[in-house]
Amino acid sequence: MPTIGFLFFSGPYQSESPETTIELAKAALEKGMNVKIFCYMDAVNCVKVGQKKVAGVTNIEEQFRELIAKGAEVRLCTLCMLVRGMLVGGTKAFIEGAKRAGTPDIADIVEESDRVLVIS
Amino acid sequence: MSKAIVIILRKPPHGSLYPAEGLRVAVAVSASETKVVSIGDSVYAFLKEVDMTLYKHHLDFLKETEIPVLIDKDSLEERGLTEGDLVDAVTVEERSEILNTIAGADATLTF
Repeated sequence: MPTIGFLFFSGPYQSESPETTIELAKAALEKGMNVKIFCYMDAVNCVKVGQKKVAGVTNIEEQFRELIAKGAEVRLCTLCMLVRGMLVGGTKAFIEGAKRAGTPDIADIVEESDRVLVIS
Repeated sequence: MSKAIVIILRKPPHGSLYPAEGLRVAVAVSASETKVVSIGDSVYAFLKEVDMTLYKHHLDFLKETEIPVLIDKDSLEERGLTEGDLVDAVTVEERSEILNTIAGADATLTF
């Protein structure tokens, strides 16, 4: 089964980069591919718990929960979360199933993936 | 066999953390065959006088481990800069060589 990796940089609700990442990841999952996403820099904000639902706006938290439920592997840059105050409250600050990680995980994802997409 | 990874730096060191983060990732993936390429405004990150507090240790590591940091000559010239303006941890290359390096990569990570 092919594997696609994402190095993903963008925070939610400012551009459509998170939606693009989510839709590409969903399409890959639907084709039976493995999906590995590394959330780097502001992208760690995409998995924060408690994002308000607004009519007409894609709720990024829900979408990432759905990706994880469908089998996507989501790793989070721990240092990026630390500097953004996201580790207050421990793992409850971000959605269940997403995993704390570090930049060496990027090396793993590159090695494990048939293709790597960078979305900034 | 490990993959050939090229880290492509594109953004300036002022107003963004991308060059610092790109060099941090270069260190992280250095067990693979890794090269760093600097194009566009990212070349400012390697000026002798620039504040490298956030990434000097990464640059030193890359130099010690002989991981090349390649600067696009055209990007330098477009900004009125020369090789003499840069720290000695980097190597200036012609655009064609830079493109060959990118083309030869199994994975490119852009910052």
